[in-house]
Amino acid sequence: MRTKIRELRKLHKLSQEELAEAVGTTRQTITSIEVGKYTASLPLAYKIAHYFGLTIEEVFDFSELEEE
Amino acid sequence: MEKELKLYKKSLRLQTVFYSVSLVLLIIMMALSVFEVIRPVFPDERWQSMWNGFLFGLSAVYVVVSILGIVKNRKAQQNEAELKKMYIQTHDEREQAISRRCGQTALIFELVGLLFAIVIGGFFSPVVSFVCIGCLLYLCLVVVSLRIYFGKRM
Repeated sequence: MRTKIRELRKLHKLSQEELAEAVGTTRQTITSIEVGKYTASLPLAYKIAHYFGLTIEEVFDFSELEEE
Repeated sequence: MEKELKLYKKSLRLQTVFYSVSLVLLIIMMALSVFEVIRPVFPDERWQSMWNGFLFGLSAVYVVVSILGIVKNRKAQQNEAELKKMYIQTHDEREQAISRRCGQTALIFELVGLLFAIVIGGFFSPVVSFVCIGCLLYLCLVVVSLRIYFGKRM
């Protein structure tokens, strides 16, 4: 799944480590979500979106699911 | 997060108690084994000594692992930052997903491996075949029980 996490991180000048600590996960998980290897669970997606003050749909791209 | 950390701290305390109790029991067993109060049942002296050495080595590994676990847990209980770091590492959802997938794949390999061992072992040693059947039945029983348990919980 594609996400805007990397762009948002750059915008907020955040490292993966800092974001991971803020949302209670590991840096490796953030990396995997950013490159699309791992799909975040609903609670983690909510935490990430909430951290940036956005909705889940604004951070995560669900267009692939909509196409199905 | 604070509530979760509190619960995690409690579970670490329990884990430390478990480590300590098992450590004491194992050290007692090792001492009894060294002074030959208890010894593995083998008719052959050479096999007995070899098996005794193997069990002693295994126990020594467990002792080291337990001591490391106790030290790590104590450190985390006294330092909030360390506790949070450890909590995140153990509760990371990607790590849990990896473990789940590893468990599922390993189970398939175990079941298929045991089935092969039962069939092939049957041609060479019926004892090996029966032991493998026992293991397979035990594995199936555990899987079915866990499926019922988690099926009711989720």
